[in-house]
Amino acid sequence: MHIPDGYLSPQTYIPLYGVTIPILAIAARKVKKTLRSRHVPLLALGAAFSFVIMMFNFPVPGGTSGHAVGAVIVAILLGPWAACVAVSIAIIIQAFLFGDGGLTAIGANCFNMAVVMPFVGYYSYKIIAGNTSLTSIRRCIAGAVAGYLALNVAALYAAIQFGIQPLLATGADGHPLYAPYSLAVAIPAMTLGHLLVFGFVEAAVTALVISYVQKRDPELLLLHLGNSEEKEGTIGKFWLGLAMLALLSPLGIILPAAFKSKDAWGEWDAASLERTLGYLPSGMRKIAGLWQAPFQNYSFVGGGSSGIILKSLAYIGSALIGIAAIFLCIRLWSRYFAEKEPK
Amino acid sequence: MIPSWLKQANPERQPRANATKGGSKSFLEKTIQGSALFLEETVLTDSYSGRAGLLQRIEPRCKLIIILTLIVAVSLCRSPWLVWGVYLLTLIFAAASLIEIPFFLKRVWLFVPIFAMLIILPALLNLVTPGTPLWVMIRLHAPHTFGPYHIPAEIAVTREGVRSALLFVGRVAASVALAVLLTLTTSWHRLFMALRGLKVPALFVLIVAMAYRYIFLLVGIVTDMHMARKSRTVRYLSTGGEQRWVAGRIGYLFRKSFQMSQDVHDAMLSRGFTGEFAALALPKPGSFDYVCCALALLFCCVLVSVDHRIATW
Amino acid sequence: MPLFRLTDVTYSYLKRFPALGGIDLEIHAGESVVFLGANGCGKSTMLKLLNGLIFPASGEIRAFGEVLDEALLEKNDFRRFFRSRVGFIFQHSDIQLFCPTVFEELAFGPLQLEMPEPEVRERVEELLQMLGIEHLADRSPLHLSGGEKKRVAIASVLAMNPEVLLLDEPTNGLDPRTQRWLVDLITELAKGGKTIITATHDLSMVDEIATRVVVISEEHRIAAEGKPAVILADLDLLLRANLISERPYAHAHLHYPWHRHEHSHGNIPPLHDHQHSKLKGGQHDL
Repeated sequence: MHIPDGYLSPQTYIPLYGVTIPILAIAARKVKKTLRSRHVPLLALGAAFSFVIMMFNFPVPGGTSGHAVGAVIVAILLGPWAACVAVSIAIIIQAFLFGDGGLTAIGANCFNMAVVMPFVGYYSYKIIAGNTSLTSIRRCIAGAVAGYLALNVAALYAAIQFGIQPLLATGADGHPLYAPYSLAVAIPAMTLGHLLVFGFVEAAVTALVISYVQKRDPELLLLHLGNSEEKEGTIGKFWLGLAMLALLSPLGIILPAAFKSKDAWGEWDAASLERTLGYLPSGMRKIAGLWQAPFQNYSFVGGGSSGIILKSLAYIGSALIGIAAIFLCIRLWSRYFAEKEPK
Repeated sequence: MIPSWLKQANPERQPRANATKGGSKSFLEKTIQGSALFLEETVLTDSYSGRAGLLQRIEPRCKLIIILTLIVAVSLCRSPWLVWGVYLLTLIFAAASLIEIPFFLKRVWLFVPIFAMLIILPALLNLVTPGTPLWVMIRLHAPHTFGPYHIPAEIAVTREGVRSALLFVGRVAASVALAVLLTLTTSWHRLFMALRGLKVPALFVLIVAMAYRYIFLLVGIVTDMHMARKSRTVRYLSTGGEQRWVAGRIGYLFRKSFQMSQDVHDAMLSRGFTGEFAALALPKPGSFDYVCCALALLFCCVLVSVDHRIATW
Repeated sequence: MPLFRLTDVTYSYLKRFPALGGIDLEIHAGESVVFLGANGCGKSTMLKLLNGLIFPASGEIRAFGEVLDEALLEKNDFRRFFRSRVGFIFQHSDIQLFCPTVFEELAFGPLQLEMPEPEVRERVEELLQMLGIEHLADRSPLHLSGGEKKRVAIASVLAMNPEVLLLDEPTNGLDPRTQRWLVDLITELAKGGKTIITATHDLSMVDEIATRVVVISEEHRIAAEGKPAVILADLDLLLRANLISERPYAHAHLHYPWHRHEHSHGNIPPLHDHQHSKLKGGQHDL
């Protein structure tokens, strides 16, 4: 899943650096705070371990073998923040010294494999495993599902990064300047392989390693470095989930545009409804002009056809404003109307 | 002392010379060979950084900045001529750095640019890249549409497709060549030091350097484990059984790594490590290095402005 | 026909660091050969070549009359035959133990050979007894002491009743009692008809276990071959091969019950500790 140089435009790889570097810095700080000086050799060996996992040949039915990325099992064993740093270091070493993955693509690769994979993997594992005993089989199943899910989500992100290139960067005569396949091609092409094959390899590796650790040294499943369990548990993943959804929101305009489909069911405005039906119900006509939203059509720049980047950013911006607004309302409600907890 | 069966001959009979069925390369063998290849390549790469060539003389921080700037410039180019031009330049610099050209070509083209060539092939057609047809391959009765997929009546190689392919492969090749130049002419140790020039914290660089060295230790353990298993493999277990074995080795490797990290930590503590890292100051770059930086920067500016002008060709 | 025949075998580590140069050697059934050499001379490499784990860069190895190459070992029949006939005991026990319990570790080999289960159980029980590790049967092999791990590793290889045993630095890191036990075991196995090939730099056990000694120089070639008594008396040879140092230590003379005086050190007065050769020539790789 390592993206080489030349596939992604600067409009893609620069923002991905912009997102990944702060996350990496936060992760490093968190791990350092929890472990003090111990974090140096641990992260170094965690990174070496993450690197070497990718070298194992894992036998699959049919006689051949495949490789796992391993970011999920590292996240389960070391916690997502430490995994973020460890896998990032492995990716950096791979890029600089072994040509596995491009130098400009380090941000993108780290985002997919060192941010998305560990966090999606870790939190799905936590949700499914719950508070079962360290040696219960449910943890293995949780690991399998987490591995499968996280790898496919990471592959999806990579596919999106490829697929938006023709939308973002074309030459004067419309030919693509970077990865030439649109989302409609890139997404199936990349995700199919991961859904059908690699996802299962990742799932199997994650589950079986958990099973091995359960038998030999179950305490190792409790390391969770860089995490303070109580706080991170539910609130942390809630915010993370929201952040992820906010980042994914531009899909709402990209996918319909790519698939040339119309508005979502029930979300028609007066004009398009009139076109479809041939007439507009009188009740709708009366209320149509009643409310002018501050950010019409989720855009800040006067609506209409601005570039897709601008629209995507606008979508993300709207999502963040929306989340903030909802959060504010909930805080206000809980402060003034909710039952006070008995002391 | 020893039981009787141990004193008897092993009942396994030697098969006749050509009567045996062939097997395929096992996953054990693949890992062993993969590890061996990995180690060989590392040693080979290291051998170039000591040569007295042009690029080896540039200070690592400057070199890193130069190469990165060039790769970014290449990523901004829209003209295939320019990216292939940069690629040809890398050949000249490789020669100037005493890297054998056949070796350089092999190192660059396997596997990334060749893989890029393969995946770009469908994009030559107007199935992917619409435009003026150069060479019509298949004629259908009528265009078809399945959802977001549109198949035109004439499937042809388009001018835009060819241009896009040339640009794509050229860009990938040039970028990889630049990265290979950096890797071959800089020892790993100085390469990590160079990261500090990009304002990466010294502690992080320390971790990266440690990780790099531990990779070799772990690869050695992995090789040994697979060889030991190979030595005891009379026949293979079921796929599930072998999968459990591999996962077990991964698990063992984790426990070993974790134990090792504690030992290393003890060693570091006993040598005064507190968690903060005071690194040796890097030697200042010389005038030669600054000149190279300036030239490279100049080149990039020229490249991008020329590209801007000829982009419409 | 010799069991193994090496003809002009060379090997380079990672294809550039010479590990063995121009080796011509024959090993016959029933022999107990010791490869004697300093660290890095190539004796471990020899063992791996004999076990078909790596293959020569040039030259030829024949085992059981067949040319031992990658293609041959990929054939299921031959591999099964070869792997059950030739057993390898690695220097570090950790890397060769992978089953959940000691019992399963010992049972692994026979089960692969499709022995019926009752027979497997019987065999494992006998091995556990023979090696004095019955009390460890249900323990995880990796939670044992160094000496115990070594016993388990040896047992797991013996379980397949191999005809040939390759031992890489078997006494390294073992306490004196375990070393004594190991030397006795090897002697017994040799008497029982096994072909034993040992790589070591430990001079103290050579005269006990070897019928033939092959000295490998630090130039990765065979420096000498012959009977143990002859080789061990050739001080110049041992010096050149970095198996002893210039000046032996003067120690108090200790009598271990098993200690035998068979060799003298020429002009050097007989006050010495027979462990000195190990101290000087042996470096523990951890």
